[in-house]
Amino acid sequence: MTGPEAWAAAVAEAADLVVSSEQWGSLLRLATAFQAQLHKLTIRSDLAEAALDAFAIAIFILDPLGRLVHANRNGQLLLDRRDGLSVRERRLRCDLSDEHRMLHGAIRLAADTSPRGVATERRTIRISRPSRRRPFGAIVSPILAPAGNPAPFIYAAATGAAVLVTVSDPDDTDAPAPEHLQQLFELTPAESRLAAALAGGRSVAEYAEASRISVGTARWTLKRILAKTGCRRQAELVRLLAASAAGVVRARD
Amino acid sequence: MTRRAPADDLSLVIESIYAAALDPSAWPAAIERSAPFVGATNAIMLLWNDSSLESGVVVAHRVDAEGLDRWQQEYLGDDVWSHAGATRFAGRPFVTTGASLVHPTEFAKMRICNDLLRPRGMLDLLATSLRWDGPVMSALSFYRREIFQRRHVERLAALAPHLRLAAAVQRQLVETRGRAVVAESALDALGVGVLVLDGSGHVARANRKAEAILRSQDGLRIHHRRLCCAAGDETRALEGAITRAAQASERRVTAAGQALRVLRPSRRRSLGLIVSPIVPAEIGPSLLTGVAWRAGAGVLVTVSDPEDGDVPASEHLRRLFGLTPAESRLAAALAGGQSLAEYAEQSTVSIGTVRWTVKRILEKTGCRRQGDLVRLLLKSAAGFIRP
Repeated sequence: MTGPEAWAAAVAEAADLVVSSEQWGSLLRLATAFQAQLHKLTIRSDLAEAALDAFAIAIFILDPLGRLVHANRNGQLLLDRRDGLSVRERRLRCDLSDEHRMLHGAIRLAADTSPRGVATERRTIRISRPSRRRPFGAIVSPILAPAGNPAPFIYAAATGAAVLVTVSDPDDTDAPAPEHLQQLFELTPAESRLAAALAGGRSVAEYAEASRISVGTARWTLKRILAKTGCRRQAELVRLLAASAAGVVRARD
Repeated sequence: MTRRAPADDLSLVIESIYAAALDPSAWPAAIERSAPFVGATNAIMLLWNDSSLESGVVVAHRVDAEGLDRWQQEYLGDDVWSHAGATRFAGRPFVTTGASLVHPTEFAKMRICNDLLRPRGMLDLLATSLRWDGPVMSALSFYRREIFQRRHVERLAALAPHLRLAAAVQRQLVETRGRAVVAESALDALGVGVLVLDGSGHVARANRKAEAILRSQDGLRIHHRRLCCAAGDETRALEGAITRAAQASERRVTAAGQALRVLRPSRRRSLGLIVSPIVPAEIGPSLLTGVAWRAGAGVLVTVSDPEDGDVPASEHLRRLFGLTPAESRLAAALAGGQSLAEYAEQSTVSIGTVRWTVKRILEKTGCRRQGDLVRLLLKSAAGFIRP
């Protein structure tokens, strides 16, 4: 780490400052306080951005001009697939021009309204995919500055609000980690494997076949899972699992 | 009277400018000190956006609100000093006077001079750019009744690099804070509880859902900045998981994390927690500072409540999956855990109609079974964010 002294010296040189010893003292105090504040703020924003990586959904943060400033891990993976949604010149881009117009209309609307503190309606857009898989579902919402924090929006590249775009892939077969389900719902290893398969969109019969057990055994295991979790139907169980912490975080790091 | 030499005056002014760099509310005091130093009576610090054409006065020193307002409303478009300055110094930092931009005898004939500036004793300008390479630009303008002298220009030229440094420092702090606020607001949008802990296990941030869970005081709480459970052995298990995740984060190891249940005194179903390390990307040297720090360590605690009655907004489901209003209402109910029979009874539709509606939803969404559909709805963007 470069200390405040080195920073102050570099700044003085870059700006061609001739400083007296008194002024050097001031510059050094500025350097020390600036580095401490910036360090704290940098860690705070890095942690919050990195926390978004944990979630099993694509999250994009755009600046008020609609430029992409952050994509979480799932967001990056989704863009890398280039299947209907991509980035060009720092802007999200849909392959179909109609959908592209709708997406950017929604982004402009979200960026426009929020600095005045008006919570606007979120917009929903389907994004078709050349692979002919089911379309991505996107929700565009404004990021409202919390009370007492207007400054970021005044000093940002443009006035206006940041925009949040969350995108889901209906064909994502991501399933919760069985070991997480085992812990969360007190299941046995066999039960947690079946629960994960169901939460991943497979049927009991498919699971039985894939894991080479009889359908009867799988059904009996399902019954025990339902009893343990207090669910009455399979659909209710899937809801419980998908909405659990295990269902919303990425299963593999 | 002259207890201090001019050099000391300069040092005092610089000191006040540096204070403003770290705390924007100290700008008025810094300008109040700077004005007499450069022989000025009034000053305006201005910020504007070259792409959106919006502008804002950051500090006005001895300029009345009415004057500022009229200048912004009536004269912003034909402010001859601004125009001449923008043309002459396009993109280059400057220190200049009004008299050197527009000849004083010409200026004395103009409406902006006679109508707006003369009554306020602002007949010459002494200005410097603070940030002059768009899109957000800023400048500091001083005014007085008489023409500014060469020594005043020299004094402002001596101050200008310090003012620009202060503006750059402030901008970097404000932008970094903005980045944090925006990412934290994105966490707020999630429909699940999110707690961000620092490397020593202290709770640094709780999103809105987590705040609601903590407020309910049912199993999970914060004690001395640390997460605690109602049962002692659960607290110990949680602390262990947090410590391990913090160590993994320190070593920059990503891991899927550990799941825990937290019993609730209310006897409702247990909260589900996943504790995982946060591993931010290495921080590159910042443009302004050349400083690279070690990335911070942290722990993410994701909290779900099985009793949470949140259902995705049916309006969102309608648009995401191309459903009719009736279909989207049923879809939302299923995603919220209701059965077909329950929905039929509640919405006074026959069970036959409901079964037929669910069939069409399954067809439209390409799902084979009801469980499949529930999964699709909850994993959709509408299911993921707070309704």
